[in-house]
Amino acid sequence: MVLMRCQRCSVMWVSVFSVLSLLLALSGVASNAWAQSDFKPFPAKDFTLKTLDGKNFRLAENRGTVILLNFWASWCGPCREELPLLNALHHKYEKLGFTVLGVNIDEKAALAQDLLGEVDVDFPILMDGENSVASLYNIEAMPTTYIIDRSGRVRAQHLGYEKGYEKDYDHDVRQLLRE
Amino acid sequence: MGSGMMGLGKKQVSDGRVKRQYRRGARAMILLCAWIGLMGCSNLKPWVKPYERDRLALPYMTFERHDLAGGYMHHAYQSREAARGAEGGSGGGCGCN
Amino acid sequence: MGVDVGVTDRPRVLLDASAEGARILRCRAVLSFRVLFRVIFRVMLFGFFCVVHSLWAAVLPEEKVEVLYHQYAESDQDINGPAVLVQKRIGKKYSLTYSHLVDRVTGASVDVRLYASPYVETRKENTLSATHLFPKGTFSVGLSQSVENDFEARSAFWQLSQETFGGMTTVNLGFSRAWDEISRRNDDAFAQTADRWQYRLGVSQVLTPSWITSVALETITDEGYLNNPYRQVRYLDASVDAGYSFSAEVYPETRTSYALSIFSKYYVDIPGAVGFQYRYFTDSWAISAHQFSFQYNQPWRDVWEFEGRLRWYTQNGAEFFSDLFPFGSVNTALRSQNFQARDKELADLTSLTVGLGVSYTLKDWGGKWADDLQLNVFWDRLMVDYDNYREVDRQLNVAPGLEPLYQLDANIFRLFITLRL
Repeated sequence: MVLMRCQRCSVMWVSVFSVLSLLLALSGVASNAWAQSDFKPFPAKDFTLKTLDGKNFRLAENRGTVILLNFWASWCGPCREELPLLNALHHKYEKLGFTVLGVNIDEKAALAQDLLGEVDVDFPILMDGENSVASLYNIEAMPTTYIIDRSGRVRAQHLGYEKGYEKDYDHDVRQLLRE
Repeated sequence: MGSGMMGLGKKQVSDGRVKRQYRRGARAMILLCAWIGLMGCSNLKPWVKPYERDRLALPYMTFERHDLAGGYMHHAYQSREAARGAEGGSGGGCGCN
Repeated sequence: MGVDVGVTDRPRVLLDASAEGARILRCRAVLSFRVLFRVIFRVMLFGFFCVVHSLWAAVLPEEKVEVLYHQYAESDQDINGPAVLVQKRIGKKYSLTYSHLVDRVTGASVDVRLYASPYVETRKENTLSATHLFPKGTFSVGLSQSVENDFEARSAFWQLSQETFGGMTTVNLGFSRAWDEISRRNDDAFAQTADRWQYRLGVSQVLTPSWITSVALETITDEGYLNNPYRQVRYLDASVDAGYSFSAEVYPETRTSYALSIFSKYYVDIPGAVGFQYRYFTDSWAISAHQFSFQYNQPWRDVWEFEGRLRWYTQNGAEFFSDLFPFGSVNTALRSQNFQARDKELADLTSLTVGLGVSYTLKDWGGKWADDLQLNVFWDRLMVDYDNYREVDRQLNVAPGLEPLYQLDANIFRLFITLRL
């Protein structure tokens, strides 16, 4: 650390330093942002998880159905807000070959069950307590939603939940159902 | 104190103490800025994933849990002590959205 | 501090002309650090406003209503009153917070009892703030006002909070500007003001899934009338029976302080949480202080929560503080020092606080229109030992400077209800 003798110099040095560190921070944040904005469809990675009832559920077996894959947790506020809206979406397009899949990443299944006792959810809930699927999909935000087409390719991704996202889901699902 | 008694006067004592305060403050500032800057480095990836934040989302893992009651305690301490500022932390939580 | 010399508690060099030079040097150094802090602060602020991306956002404050009854009880002084806080979201991007606090003071603290009579006073404080949620952060602005019959303080503040690095790092900046108006009871001619600027920079970092740490740096500058218009200093006066007389306090017209704190919370798999804080404080009045705090939170059976607190604080007082000045006069031209204070807040002291808290949650109490109701009972015992402030009692026949050092014990109660909406 350079010993600062000249007070004016030190003001200049620390300002320069802070501007540089800020630019560094911002470049990291910004590059992250830009990377996310050019999303390219990719094949949905296959996995098998147990549902709440204890049955095995494999993603690849559901080719031919449009899937909305939603990663959520009981401790996540926006996730809880989104659940009833996803339930409504599930009912709306279920008969046309669509399903919502909720992947719960709570360490303790009991926490998820408590929440589901309060909120009406009719779509399958898959338990990923060990976070194997969350890390397989490299989840970077809570909640994360992927929309997968009939051939098993991820065609849309939504990070987090903000009011209005459910309209985007509706639009994407309808488009994929027409294909 | 001792230097005062020996007649060196307060000038040298206060001068040294203020310079130390000044250096300490500048050092703290630089460290904080470096920390922020380092977090922007794209080589360094976040090592705690958003889905691993269940413990951090617990209500008793927040720094200032009770706004009103906590704020009142800061006010009580400030009326009996000379120190003020930097009382509470912030951040943490579920990291959602 | 060594042998008790009786008259003053540490050897003091009487300030003279060379002290003026020291003061100017100190002010210049402090001023340049203030400039430094402000420059960095403004650079960072500008930088944050440059960040534009619309991916994910942070979260608004939770909706709740909180009602608190607080009581601070010392041996001869009681300060109690109610407080209320309301926090409500407006739409999906905004949130409003309003709080109101009342302090009812009865009795008088030890120094006031010496030269004035106990009083009853009420202070009311109102704060209103609005928070805006934007991508990856929040921005809040607010106004606050504190009113009592001889003091009014108004302040405006803003705060910016930004998440970065995958949500693991949160940076916050804050600025507050305050205006104080000080008057004096039974003295309509007395009207003084004080101004305050407060800058805050904080970074919190998630270190492991169980550990989060936060560092905060805050600098506060005051200018104007900074003392209490009633408080008096004591000086040796052989011409009176008591051996001491009183004259008005004289404070510097500026004060710049810096506080640095590091705060850590660690989850233990009982389950529970351990909290630790270290804070360092220093200012231009030559006060320096250290604080160590520990806290432990223990949930139990899903609805109970217990909290234990321990806080140790030590401070080296202001350089112009003395319990008993060697000589003085009501005539300020004949004072022994340029600045004089006898406010025990500025003394050399060590304080220890132990506290316990119990919370009970009634889940889904509010049915459709509200969520949980939490009942809380918190108690703290504050014990302060003064190293250079004496408890003076006119009734006792003790030579000035040999009175016992003051010890303060206070019980602080906080009973509050939180209703989550």
